[in-house]
Amino acid sequence: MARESYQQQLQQLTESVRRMGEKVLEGLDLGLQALRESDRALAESLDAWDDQVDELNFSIEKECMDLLALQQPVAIDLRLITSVFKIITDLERAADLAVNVGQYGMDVGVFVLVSKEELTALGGFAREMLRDAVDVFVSRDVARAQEIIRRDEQMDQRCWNLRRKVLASLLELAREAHSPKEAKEFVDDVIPVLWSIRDLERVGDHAVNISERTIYMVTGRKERKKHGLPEV
Amino acid sequence: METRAPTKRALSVVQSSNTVGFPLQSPILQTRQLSLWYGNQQALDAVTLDIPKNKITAIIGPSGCGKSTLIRCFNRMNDLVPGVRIAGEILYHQKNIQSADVDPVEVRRRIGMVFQKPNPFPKSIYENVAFGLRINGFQGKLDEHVERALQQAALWDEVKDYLHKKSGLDLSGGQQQRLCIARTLAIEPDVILMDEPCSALDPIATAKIEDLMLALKENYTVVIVTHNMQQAARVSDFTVFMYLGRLIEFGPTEKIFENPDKKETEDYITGKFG
Repeated sequence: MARESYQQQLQQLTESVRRMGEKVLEGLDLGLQALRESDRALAESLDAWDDQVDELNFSIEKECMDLLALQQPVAIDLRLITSVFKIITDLERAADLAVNVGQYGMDVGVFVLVSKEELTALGGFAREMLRDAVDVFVSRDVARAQEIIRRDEQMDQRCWNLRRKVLASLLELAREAHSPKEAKEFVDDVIPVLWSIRDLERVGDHAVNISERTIYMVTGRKERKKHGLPEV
Repeated sequence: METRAPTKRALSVVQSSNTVGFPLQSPILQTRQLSLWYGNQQALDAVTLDIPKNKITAIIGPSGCGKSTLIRCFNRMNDLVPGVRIAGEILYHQKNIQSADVDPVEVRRRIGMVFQKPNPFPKSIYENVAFGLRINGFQGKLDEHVERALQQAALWDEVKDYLHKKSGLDLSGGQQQRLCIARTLAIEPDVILMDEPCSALDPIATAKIEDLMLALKENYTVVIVTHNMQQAARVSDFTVFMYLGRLIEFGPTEKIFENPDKKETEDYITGKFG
């Protein structure tokens, strides 16, 4: 094969993204664990982990810069490098969301409004989407990428349903509250719950972005998710 | 004690030296304040440079900047040009190759050269490669040496069945250039100088020569002059930028192409002049 060393660098770039994906998934697991167990120490430890993800982000960015500046990539090679630039941003943001998710668990009142099982099941769904998106990028599997984009509709529907449920239980608890102070406490609890749902939904969105980028990288076509409203 | 301010020239030499900025281990070739004149025309101006061992160093710069003149100093090819005058030092393994006791033929055996236009002899492929060995009075197993050189030049598989049947001139341009590289490798040099080795080749043949350069640096030091900046970026570990006979900047290739220190370098590599 011609330009063997360049081809090796391109393979290495894919491998670096796979490693960064693995790192982000590790952190998402820890964030979900911290949320489930309301583990403050674990949640706080995620900052250091996030720094490592940032380092990986910078080092992959440098790999892309070197390839662009030194190798004059064209066609699929160029699409790979520009896609990686975007994908690592999605991964880095998913990592930030994992840190947030861990921190929401510090407020134990969260689970008055939603069960731990439901929230962590939602997290598991988002995690699976992100894991599959990274796999799909590595394997260049367009059909699976399209399936992940479709799967996001289920994710959105789940988030919508859970939000409705949280707000319904808030109303019920507020109605039964013995004092305005107690009712206000329930209202305060709703904020981290809604944020955690939103952040997990965003993890799913980043998985969609990665899948869309993978399709573009392989086919040169831009395929966007069709946005519909969730069923009420 | 009185201290004197450095002259402008002394400053420019310090700034253009590669000895500042990054550590360089085991230089195999060095120039110290190297200046060269063709008659009254100055072609090199106080070039101080360390060429690292087992690396590819590319010399880039606009036409007439002195890059070919510099590379030709490394194996005393400029000795053959009438009216040349040289000042400063050219060191090979710390030894000044300009010294009266140094045999230029021996220098060229250790520091081989590949030219812009492939120049095989009108002889068989085998004899092209064996030529240098024969004139150096080689007594060993010639066949083995010829095969090894052709293997190293990534040409063996393409020519092994025609070694004695085909002339070097029957090969394609890219094959001829690799044959010339094999001819250089056969006499086991230390350094290979390449002066625009791909300028007469198509992109596929160019890619093969570039792959070959990357493979060769395991065992050899390669210095390449190229007009093609992309080629310098693709293959080299270090890049020298020259302008008007002066060394403007020398550094790791990724540094030169991503974040050069000198404005002249940036202007040249971004196509603002040259």
